[in-house]
Amino acid sequence: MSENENVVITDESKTFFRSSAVWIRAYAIILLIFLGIMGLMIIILSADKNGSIVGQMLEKADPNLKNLVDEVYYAVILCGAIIIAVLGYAVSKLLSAGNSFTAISYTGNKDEVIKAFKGMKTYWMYYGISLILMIIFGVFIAAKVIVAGLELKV
Amino acid sequence: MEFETIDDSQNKFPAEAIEELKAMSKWMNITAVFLIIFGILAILGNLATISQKGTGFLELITNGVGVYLGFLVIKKAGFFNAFSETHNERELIEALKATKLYWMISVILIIVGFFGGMILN
Repeated sequence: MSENENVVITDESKTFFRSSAVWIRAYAIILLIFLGIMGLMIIILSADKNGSIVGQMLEKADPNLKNLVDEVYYAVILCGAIIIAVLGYAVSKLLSAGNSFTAISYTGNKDEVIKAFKGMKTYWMYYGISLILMIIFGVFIAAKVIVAGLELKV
Repeated sequence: MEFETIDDSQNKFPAEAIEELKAMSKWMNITAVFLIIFGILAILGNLATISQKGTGFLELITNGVGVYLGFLVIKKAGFFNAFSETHNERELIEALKATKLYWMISVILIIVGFFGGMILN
């Protein structure tokens, strides 16, 4: 047995595994529902831009604004879809980790411990990646807006 | 005749999980820094527009709590990292306490933000 495996999961730590699991799973389920709704909205908005709520608003808007939005509309949709996909994967791993936390609290099984912290690591890694992507996409879309705005003035 | 069964799969913290903990702590620290920066920028934006929006005060509070959560993640990562180094059960328990607090506040924040936004709008 390696030195690490001398660390025992006591009843006290199992209590905290169980209580954490409740909140982890609640958060993951709420966020998966929210991301699902956002994903549906992205599909609807990308399917028919002119017929969508955004399209109808643009019909009544300034022609210059309409051209500006045309430049960035699909870029925003695409960036949004990528962020939702990355976050969705991360949160699904979080839910899996939450389920493993529950299992650990009852059985203390070694495999569940590994699965739990692997899932948690994956969540934090992809969450971090999604935040970095948000910054990159934000800069990209801002650049497109600025360039489109400059072209309108010219 | 009695046989003693040896089951070493129960109630032990395996070396592989310790390695995952170390990697997880690094990513938690990276993510927390971004969350704190985003939260502070959002707070500055809220302060500039607080009088113009009905939800301005609620957004200020939720962004403030978001910054606090960023610091809580750093604290949590510290405990997990310490546990991975020392294998001290107290560090694991403190890490799990911080984990429970973080997720509990996150859930409450989502619910308050969602319903508060609906009511105030």
